[in-house]
Amino acid sequence: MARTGKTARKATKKVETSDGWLRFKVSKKFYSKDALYGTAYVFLDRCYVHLDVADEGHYVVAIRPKPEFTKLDLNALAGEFENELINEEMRIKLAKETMDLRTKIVGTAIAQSMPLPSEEKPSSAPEVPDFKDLPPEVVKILQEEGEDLDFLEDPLGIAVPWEEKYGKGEKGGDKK
Amino acid sequence: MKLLFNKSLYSKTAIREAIKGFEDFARLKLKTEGKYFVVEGEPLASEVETEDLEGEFCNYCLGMVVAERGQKT
Repeated sequence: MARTGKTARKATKKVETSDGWLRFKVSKKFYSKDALYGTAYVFLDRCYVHLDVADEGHYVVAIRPKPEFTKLDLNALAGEFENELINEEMRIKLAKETMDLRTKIVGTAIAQSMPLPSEEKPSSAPEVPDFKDLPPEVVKILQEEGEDLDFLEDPLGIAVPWEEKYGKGEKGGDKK
Repeated sequence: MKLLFNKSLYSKTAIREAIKGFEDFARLKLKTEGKYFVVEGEPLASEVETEDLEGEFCNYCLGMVVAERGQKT
């Protein structure tokens, strides 16, 4: 624990509190610029944040609570800022480490969702009705009906033309 | 009102966008002095606290820079 404390003190060092602003240094050695921006962004709703460069090895962060948050303790805010810096840095590190894996997962998911050319149905093939949204008993009935249906059968002779059925002379009122 | 923005942390585009965004609240000008972009000007309305305006402007600039970087990555 003592070692962690020392590291934290080296990574960020309080500078001064004046004109309502708390200024403290952040080591470039421990925290990247992206982590600094990410952390600063988290505090924008509660504080005014200004960033600067102190020297080659340090950034300077200046924070001041917004008028509606004046009751916030500046030192507590600075501590929270430091914690968030660690959080952001870890997030960036993990994102870098898992980038290849995430790209592979997304790539595989997209590839699997696309149909292969050999799997595509020919346009002349009869369409299979989609029963997936219907209850199972209804699907069963529809499937049985579908099997029995034969559109080539014409037991009532509906498809037979009039002339063929009754002859030409019987057409209209001529027979009367 | 005078604000300094380090060139290695703030982009000129972000500051210009911020000045544009604050047109209704302050008349601001952008200059360059060594390692810094300098924003100078006055609030348009007297009831606006200069300190709060400065703070809001800093936040706006930072937000623009973060948005800019987000678009690049």
